[in-house]
Amino acid sequence: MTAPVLEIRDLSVEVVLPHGLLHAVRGVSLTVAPGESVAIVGESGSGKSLTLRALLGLLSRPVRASSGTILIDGVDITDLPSKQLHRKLTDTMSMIFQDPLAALNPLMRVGDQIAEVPLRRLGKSRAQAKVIALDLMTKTGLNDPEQIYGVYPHQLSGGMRQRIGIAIALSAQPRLILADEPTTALDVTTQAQVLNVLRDLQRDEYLGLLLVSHDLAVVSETCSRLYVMYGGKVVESGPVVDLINEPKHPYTFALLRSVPDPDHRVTKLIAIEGEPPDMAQPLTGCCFAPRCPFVTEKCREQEPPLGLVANAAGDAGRRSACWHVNEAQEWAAIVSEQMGDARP
Amino acid sequence: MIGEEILSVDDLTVHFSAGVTVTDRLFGKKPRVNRAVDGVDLVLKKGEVLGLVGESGSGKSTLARCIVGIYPPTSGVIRYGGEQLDTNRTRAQRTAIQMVFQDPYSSLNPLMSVEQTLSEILKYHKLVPRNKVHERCRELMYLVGLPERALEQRPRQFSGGQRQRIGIARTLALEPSVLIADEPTSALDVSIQANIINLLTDLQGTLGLSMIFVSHNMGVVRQISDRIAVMYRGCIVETNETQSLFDEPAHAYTKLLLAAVPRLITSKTGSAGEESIQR
Repeated sequence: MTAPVLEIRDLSVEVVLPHGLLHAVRGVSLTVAPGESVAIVGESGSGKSLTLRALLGLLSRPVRASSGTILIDGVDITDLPSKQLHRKLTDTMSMIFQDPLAALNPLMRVGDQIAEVPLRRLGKSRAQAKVIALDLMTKTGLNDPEQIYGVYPHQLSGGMRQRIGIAIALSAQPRLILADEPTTALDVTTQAQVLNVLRDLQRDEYLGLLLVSHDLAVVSETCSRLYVMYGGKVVESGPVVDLINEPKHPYTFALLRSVPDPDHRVTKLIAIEGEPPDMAQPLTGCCFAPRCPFVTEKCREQEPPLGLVANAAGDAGRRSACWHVNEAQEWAAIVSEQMGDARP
Repeated sequence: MIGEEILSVDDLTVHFSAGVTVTDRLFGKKPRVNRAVDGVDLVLKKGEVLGLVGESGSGKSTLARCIVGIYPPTSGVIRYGGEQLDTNRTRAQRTAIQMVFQDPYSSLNPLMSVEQTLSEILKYHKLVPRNKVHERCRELMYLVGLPERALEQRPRQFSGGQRQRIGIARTLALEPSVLIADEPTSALDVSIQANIINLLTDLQGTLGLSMIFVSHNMGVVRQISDRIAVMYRGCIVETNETQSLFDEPAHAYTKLLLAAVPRLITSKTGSAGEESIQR
């Protein structure tokens, strides 16, 4: 097996507050193989965006990465001097941001923003850089790139701006694209188009994709493997389709049933009672225990490890941090009765 | 359950014009007019939940706000219980149609405790005798599923979902018969969203409310609505029963909207994109 493009081991991020530390990310490990599309799903505050930002060294005070190892192509780069580290990271990956208007330079023509990296980093001439930029604009589905090259970000619609954002990310010829909620700011029809572009690029260019989202449906249409985060930890991971068909963690299970499905109406949605955990408090036991409908004494006292799941659909690489992984069938029986309508 | 017409909107338009500067006037430039709502007809029946969907900029929020009376209509008529609503509504008309706002963070006064927020309304509108105000506040907390001690707390002490419950309690304090909910769940996390939808559905049933539910999320709208109106560029392009709208969308835009909704992919066969479009 080839070494993963990116591997993160045991990453922790903390926020320094006047009265103590807030542990926002608590020991996250993940891998992305070459050409693989991987997603991180979680609610706000689950630490998914911070994981990406920590990886690229985009954290600013009072947020800091307290521990963790980053491997690129199997080589540990954590201890490199900062300049080399930066070089290594930016050579390998680039990022697409949530809000394309905030991420673009308002005073620079969009075409020049795409051409900037080829011009300054890849040592192309001005004319070559422009050709590259125009080509990237075509690839991201912008019609008439010649004309759009010369406009400013405010003249474009949200979907077009995000396409420019994708083109900029591609301009550095990365092998891995990090996308932080790239479609959250967009309308649903535009979202579908942008996701299509991402999916096609990922497939055709053999790019790795690490997509952060709160929307399981978006993820299921775009990615092949999934990490579910809750309370700063990965609680479940595995192939997307298997996770959706047969979730092995109560949080994933409840999340899937609390989101209204546009194709089926149910008598009552399953609501996850309670609130996400307060990250400033130390946690004992499972972080989902206070809200878990299937909680037992053990869950409150001991923290479950993210262990391999045996005998699950898509056996290989299924992991879940739950003491009661093997009771998934029973959850389904209890819950589908309450919902009043069995989902496929 | 669903009875006669309670609210109707007839050929309603809301136009906003951009500010005219001195130079514009000097050169005789015509002000640019934004036709946010451009000739909408709508009927809401008693006890019905009408979903209003559309993309951002389609005018759905403007329409909702106009019905509540936040914006005056440019032209057209809004009728409540058969009576036309003027720009100056009577107190009874104002209390009858109430709104739940999108953003539970900015729509609550941060300096007032929940009890102050609620009792202000109860006292001003003289909805209950003075000595019953506290009791009514407790009742409202119970209705929206918050503990009684929440009454003494201020909005910043609550999470987004709880704040939205307070927003709903404030609306219910006026005992409205029509509730206009403007994207009440879009600022909330997915795991909290279901709580608020279930709460609204329950309240709508037990209190016999009529509701217009504005949202861009087709899944949410399908879950809560009896009937759905699709808005596009200030006009309603299609109205139908929820089931029929999803089964047989008639207008091209509705079809586009339904095809674009991301769906959970549960099988490995076929590329995800193709699958969603075929459906």
